[in-house]
Amino acid sequence: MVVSGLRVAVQGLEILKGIDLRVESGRVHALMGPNGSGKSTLSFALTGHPKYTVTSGTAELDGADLLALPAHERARAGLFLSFQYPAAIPGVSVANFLRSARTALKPDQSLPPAKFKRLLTEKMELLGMEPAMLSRYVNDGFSGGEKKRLEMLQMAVFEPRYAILDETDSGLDIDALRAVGESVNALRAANAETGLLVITHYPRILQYLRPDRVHVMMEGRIVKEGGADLADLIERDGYDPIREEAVGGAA
Amino acid sequence: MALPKLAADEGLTRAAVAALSRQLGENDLACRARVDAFEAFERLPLPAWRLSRAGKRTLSALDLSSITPYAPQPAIGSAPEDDGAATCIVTVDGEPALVRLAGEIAQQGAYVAPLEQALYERPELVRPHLGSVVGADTNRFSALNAALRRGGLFVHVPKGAVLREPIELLTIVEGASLFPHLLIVAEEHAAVDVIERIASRANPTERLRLLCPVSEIVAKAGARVRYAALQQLGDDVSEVAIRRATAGRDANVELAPVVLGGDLVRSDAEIVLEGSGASGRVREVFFASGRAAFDLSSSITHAAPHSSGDALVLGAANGAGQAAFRGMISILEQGAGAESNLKSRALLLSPKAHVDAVPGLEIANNDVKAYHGATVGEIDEETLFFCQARGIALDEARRMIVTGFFSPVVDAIASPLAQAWLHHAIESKL
Repeated sequence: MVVSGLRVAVQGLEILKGIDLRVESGRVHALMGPNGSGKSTLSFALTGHPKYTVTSGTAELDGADLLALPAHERARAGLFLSFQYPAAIPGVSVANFLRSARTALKPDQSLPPAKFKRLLTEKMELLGMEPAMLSRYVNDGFSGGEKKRLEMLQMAVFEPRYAILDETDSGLDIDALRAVGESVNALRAANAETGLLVITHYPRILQYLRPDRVHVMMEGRIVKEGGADLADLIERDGYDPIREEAVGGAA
Repeated sequence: MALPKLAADEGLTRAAVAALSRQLGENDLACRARVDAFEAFERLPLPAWRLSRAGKRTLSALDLSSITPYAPQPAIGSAPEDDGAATCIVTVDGEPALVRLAGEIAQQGAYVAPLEQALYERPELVRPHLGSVVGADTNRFSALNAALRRGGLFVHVPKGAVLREPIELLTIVEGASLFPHLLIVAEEHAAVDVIERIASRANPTERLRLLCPVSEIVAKAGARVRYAALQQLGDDVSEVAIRRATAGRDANVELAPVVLGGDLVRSDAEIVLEGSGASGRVREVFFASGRAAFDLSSSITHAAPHSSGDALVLGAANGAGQAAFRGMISILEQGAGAESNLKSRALLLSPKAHVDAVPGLEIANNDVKAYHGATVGEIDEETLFFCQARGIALDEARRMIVTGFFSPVVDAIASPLAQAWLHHAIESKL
């Protein structure tokens, strides 16, 4: 997935000021940065949220012009977003939702109910989830950790080509965080081709999920890039040295 | 098949009411009761129409003098008892078109028959209860129903008998205005589910078609009665419905009025908890589309100690549809220890749609717990986007969210067939 010169405004206010980013298949990219730097804006702009207006730039997913597609077709092209705050759908069971969504995403790979059930069972075992969740309503009354586990289950069942994990670590205690980190690793083992963009302002999740590449965003721009050691640096020193460097470089 | 019309079908008059009684072969007493009810109809005012934005589309727009009730057919269609099949009664314009009784009806000593047949065969079961829950003089429309009553059903479940299969009643409005009367009597510790579906066939006649049903439920001590009325009339039929249940000591009553169709619709449902420990549940659904205007109310009245009430009302409006919903919890002085709650949620699916939700509490005893809440809103945009981000197109996402919104009531209906019918009816309005 290749993003070039992407500028995005929300209600007339420019948030992203020219983003260049390449996410490789099968790799883990970490997008780090302090709160308010524009990381979630990037994830919503790429997935087609109606409140986010792309004012210039391009985004391609394996050759497809992502920005020309409505939101549901971006998902069908293979882009998945694990929401920071997944919405609840009262009255719609997890099982029915997963089935409807998978049918929409992969119309040419429809599975008979028994096979679909087997796929669900297999993925839930992989993620260490209880089958009882399937009959609950989507995210309705779920704890923070349960919501994130369900996002991971969706990623496992939909097998996207690229997945953006937006603050998947936020609001989780250390056990839930470890569980989610292990889930992502298990999914990567099962489907090695998926390119991951892991958005976080906190390096903690990266202890469970080693990135191949780290991108640091501040005030709507990518200001620094590096390997996994960059995350370690941020863990140790915070964002201040990078901010000073960026401001210094600009001056 | 052409149905014979009333002799005096040119207008709604005292003579027409008396003629209907004669055609039904009723005695002088029954005829007198109809004429009295007609006089009450003429005397009583039109019930208030409670929509804030109704404009001219109110009940007074119904020209009651132009309604055409049909005279009865002599023959009653029936099918042999069948142990494998559920009890099913179909009426068309008030005429029983099919009466099929499950084997358990006879095995349990229950009695199920079209009301007129029941009045003839088992007057000792019917007469003490007919009109005991909804009196003819309740309002102008109960009076009209009592004057022109035709069709409907009588269900009697004797002491201790438990019917496992729901009784299904299909009421079809074809060429006439209808005044059916449903009476359900569950004796002590009896249990029964009744599911009524109400539909209409398109009719090119210019005349007003009005459905004006009265349903009465008597649940005696320890009895359990669930009654769902699933209405999907066409937009060329109006409806004024009155449904009321009384629950005796430790009895349990559920009323589920579901209003999906009709042009002008007024529906009043009430459960009166008369015995200590009685409980009542209201599960109501409405969906006003096109130009439909609905005036709906549901009440739970606590008239005994330690009774419990629970009302959940889910509604939607699209097109230029509008609805007013009033929920009322009344706890009378003798209702010490009562617990009651009332929740209503409504979805607005188009800019012109409108819903008023007005919950009310009337409490005359301090030793009670009561809660009410009402919300009216649009489909959450973040929920829509969540679905789209999972590959689901916008229209399909809306359908999924609205279907899910109604499912807490729809999925609780006791018949899978009726559930499927309801889901389909709701989806067809999106």
